Amino acid sequence: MTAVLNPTALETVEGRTDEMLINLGPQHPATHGVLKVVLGVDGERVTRAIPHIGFLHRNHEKLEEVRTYSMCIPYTDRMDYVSGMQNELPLCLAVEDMLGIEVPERSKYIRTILFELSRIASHLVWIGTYMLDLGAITPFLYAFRDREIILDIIEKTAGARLLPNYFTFGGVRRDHHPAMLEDILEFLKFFETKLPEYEALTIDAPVFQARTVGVGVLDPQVALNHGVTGPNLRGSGIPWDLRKDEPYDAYPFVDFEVCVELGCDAYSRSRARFREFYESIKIIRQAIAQYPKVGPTLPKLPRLKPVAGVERYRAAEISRGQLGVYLISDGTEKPFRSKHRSPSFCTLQALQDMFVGSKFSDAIAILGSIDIVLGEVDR
Amino acid sequence: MTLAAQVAFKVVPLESGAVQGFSSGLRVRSENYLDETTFFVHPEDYRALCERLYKAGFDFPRCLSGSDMEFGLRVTLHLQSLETKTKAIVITDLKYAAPRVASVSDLWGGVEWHEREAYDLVGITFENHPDLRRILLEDDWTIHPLQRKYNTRGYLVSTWTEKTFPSPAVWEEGFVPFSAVAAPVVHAPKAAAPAVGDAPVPVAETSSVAAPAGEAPAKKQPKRWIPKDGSAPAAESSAPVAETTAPEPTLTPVAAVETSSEPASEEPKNPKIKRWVPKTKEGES
Repeated sequence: MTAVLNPTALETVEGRTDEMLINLGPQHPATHGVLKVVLGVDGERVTRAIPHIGFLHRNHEKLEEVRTYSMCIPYTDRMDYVSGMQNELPLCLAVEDMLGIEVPERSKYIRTILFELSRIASHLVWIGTYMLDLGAITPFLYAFRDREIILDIIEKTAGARLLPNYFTFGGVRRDHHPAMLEDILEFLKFFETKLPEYEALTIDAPVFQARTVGVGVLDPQVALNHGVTGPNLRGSGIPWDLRKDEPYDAYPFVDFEVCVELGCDAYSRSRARFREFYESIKIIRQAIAQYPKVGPTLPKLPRLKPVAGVERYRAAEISRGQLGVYLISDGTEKPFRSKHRSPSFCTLQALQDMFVGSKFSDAIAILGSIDIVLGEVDR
Repeated sequence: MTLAAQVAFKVVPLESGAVQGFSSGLRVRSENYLDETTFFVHPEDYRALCERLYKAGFDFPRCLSGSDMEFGLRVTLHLQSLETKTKAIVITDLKYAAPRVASVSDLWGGVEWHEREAYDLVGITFENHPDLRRILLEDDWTIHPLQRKYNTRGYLVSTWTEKTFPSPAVWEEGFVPFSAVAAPVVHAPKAAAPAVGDAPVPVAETSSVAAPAGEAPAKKQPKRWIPKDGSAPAAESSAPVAETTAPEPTLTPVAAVETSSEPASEEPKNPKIKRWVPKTKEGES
């Protein structure tokens, strides 16, 4: 390992030593995938953090150029494999915009219910792995126990657990399982009794607070300028949620709260994310109450050939922030260009601002708090 | 809820008068669609327009994408203002011969990696970028795979030819970009979009941002933001808000047709002759 002196970074530090470079990853389990961060360390302090990504790059955007719009949907599942169902929505919204497809009421509600259910599953994975990173094993087991129920519900309806390929242009691919709504209500009833348990184990635990309060401070200006979205932005005190600001599907008809925390640190981000459990439950309950029992799930679709020259960018608020899809059509049934703006990719740009100045032992606590999925970063 | 009503839920579009304020002195064409305002800008004026938009409060970079349009490379920058939720799209077309444009990553830090990705996959060079390296592919990768002349396996497509429409020469003449010629607003839904056109309140506010030079419009500026360089272009944008008769180029493709006699491709293109291409990966010239 070579010691590299970086005079500009070290001038202000008292009692400095030579900067040492330490590789975090790509095989480190706490990076949640294959992320490599080169950390410059001066004693205990991190002086710089350079992320290296691309280990999982598959170039979906090129592959989608030679496939039809319908064939692109499974590729979006594989970007963020923790909440696969949520990834399909922006592509569907963009294509529906380009073709002027009207989604039936019932499909809107099915989408919203499953979208929020996926958010609960995704946040459960986050809570489990983050606590595992911080040294607590029990929440991980609890979280995966509860996530299993959600995956079973999704499997009954869509046929697959992680990569469902269920949403499609104009609605959902097929009708849901007849018992889906009852299953979900039963799960919510069970899950609500478990939430205080999670709360006591995680965000209310003194050890967790000692590890996260004041750690990895992300300034609101920096967060916004770097394109950070989702719970990470809301943990920095900016109340921006696409479900409220640009509502899609059935979100205009449900009432919920945007979870904002003002602390700007890892604890606030965790708290903002945790509070979304309650809001998701609220949304699902309302959506099921308003759910129209009869009606089609798919409208009569036109040929999936948007007019040449049309382009559209649509984004949706998935568990990690805004996932956007930018499509250009050339008049054929294949997208001329499709670009995915993934939230974790943008969040990683602010990593340097969170890392520099913190203790080296806090690096994992910061990395876990922003909840990245590397399949989505590398695409 | 129709699409138009859904989109117009909370979003106010830029008004055309304010748009002309942005584009004064620059080679820019603008058009409104639903809640978004699209600026087609000459690559040399791309940076100046972005600075004006930044000062007008577009503080969130939604996305920057590079794409190969088969007559050149295109940079599309999607912006949004946090306070008004107004959206803007900046589009600039680059020639294959000179795929370079000024970087805006010092205005929006979130654009930095997107520019690296556009360099990596599409081959657009961003000048004055702090760290322009490949980001997703290996450093020693030889091609830019999202270019249309490569197939999905990275080989050159033998039938690929550069499109001459619209000719890059249009930039020197009337600057009629591709989208304006081909299909500007065809993807409007059946219900007429209520968002476009009349929005009296935001008109006054937005134009007041563009109008006075720099320090006055503190009201509409996002409070936390201090522009890093309070330099020239704000003063420029001040003048033309009053004279709304600034001649915007027409949307007719006349200029495109007239000036397309100067194609950028040198080699003769005979469709019957197919070039043989070796089955090896070719490097970038």
